[in-house]
Amino acid sequence: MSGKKWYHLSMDAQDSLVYLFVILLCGVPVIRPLGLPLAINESTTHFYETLNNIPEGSTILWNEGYMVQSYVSGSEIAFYRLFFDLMRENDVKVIFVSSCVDGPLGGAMIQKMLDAGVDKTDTVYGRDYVNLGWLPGFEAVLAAIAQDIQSVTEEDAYGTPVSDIEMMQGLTTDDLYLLGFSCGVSVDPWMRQWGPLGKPILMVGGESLIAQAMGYINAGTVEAYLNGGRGMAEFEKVYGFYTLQTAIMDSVNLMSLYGIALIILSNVLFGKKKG
Amino acid sequence: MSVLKQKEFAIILFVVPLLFILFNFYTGIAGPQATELINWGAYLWNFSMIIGTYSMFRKHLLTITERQKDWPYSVIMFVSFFVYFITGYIHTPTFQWIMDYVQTPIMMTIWVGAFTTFTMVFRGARTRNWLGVLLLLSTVLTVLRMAPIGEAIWGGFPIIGLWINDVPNVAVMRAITIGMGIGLLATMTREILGKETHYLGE
Repeated sequence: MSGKKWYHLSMDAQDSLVYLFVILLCGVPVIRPLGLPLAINESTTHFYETLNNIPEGSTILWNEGYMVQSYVSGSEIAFYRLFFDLMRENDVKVIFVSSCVDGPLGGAMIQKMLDAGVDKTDTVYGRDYVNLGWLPGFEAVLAAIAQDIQSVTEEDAYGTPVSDIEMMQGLTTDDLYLLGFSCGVSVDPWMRQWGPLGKPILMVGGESLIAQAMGYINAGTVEAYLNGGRGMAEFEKVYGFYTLQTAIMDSVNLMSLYGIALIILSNVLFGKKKG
Repeated sequence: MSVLKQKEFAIILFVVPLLFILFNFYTGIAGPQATELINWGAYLWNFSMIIGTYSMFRKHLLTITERQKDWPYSVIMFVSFFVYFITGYIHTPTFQWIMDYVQTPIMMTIWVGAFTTFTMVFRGARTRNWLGVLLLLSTVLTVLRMAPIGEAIWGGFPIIGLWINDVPNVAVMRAITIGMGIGLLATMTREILGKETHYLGE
């Protein structure tokens, strides 16, 4: 006991200290934002331009596959808003559907965006956009979209027969100009089912998922992508509409430095212990 | 011996469709049929959910009937499962309420588990050799590429981070994919030769 210094804490106390700093570093920017400039990556610019260059009158499909943190933060609000801008200004029609493995949360996410996140002025449900809701089956749903959009479901999220929805009448998968998805799991199912269609595919995914998808991105199967939370924040900056996603960038900065500091500290302590 | 366990039957079920898909891949002939076969994989994934549900029910029923340790949690599992399942079909507003006020907070709490990442970093990110140093270095550079502060510190961080993502990362991902493909071919060859019988439960 005599050789034990005051800083030789128990593992529980060490964990508590690590967590305390996490809380502090996440909380400080809320009180005093750092306001560091956010550079826009080329991938984000390309994502934005791809959406803005959708030809007039085209129909696109967005497959919602994001997870609970997006549901709470509403981190996709910016590009949902852009979809509605495109509907108003360019007569683009959008099909929203989810086959998210997290279950009905994907459908709830779409509904949340449609209820509160977007400006629906001058757009009409059924003519400009349709919500097919959450459909069970994950890859089977993606396969159905790739084969025949009419076979995906018989009813939309509100129980209206798809055959009664104006913009769905006579629509085929070939008519879809662009397919997009957000996901938190492996990107392979989307690539397997949608890649052979040869249509532009947009992707929104977490940082680790983008790393996994780089092969598809470099091969051109994925036309453009948003890289995790930072990609979302960049998109908001390009689009000029800001949400929580931009606000948490300061916390991301501090947490990143904290993580690096822990790595260094850990190795210094380990080196000292080894002698 | 069950007919399902006969090698010839298994070869017809597994190997012939695989050969058919490969034939389509290289010739382009019979595309729709090959696509249908690939989709069977997706359909089977859904059936695996049924097997998963069956296993879960069986395990928790046993836990309850035998009053094993923590059996009340199994009761909670059953109640949650049926309430969630039934309200989803019968009373959507209740389902939505559960979603907003029960499931979402629970899942957010699970996400707080991300805190443990930092203790993992503190305890686990210790380099014992030069490969470890390389891994940690690439981690740090990737972090500095992703965080806007990286660019504010030095303009080279995003360039290096992007290079790590686009070059070594892609190379490794391709190596994994090719490795998996070779493994699959080797397994298929063993199946054709009748040397691989694990899928028969042997």
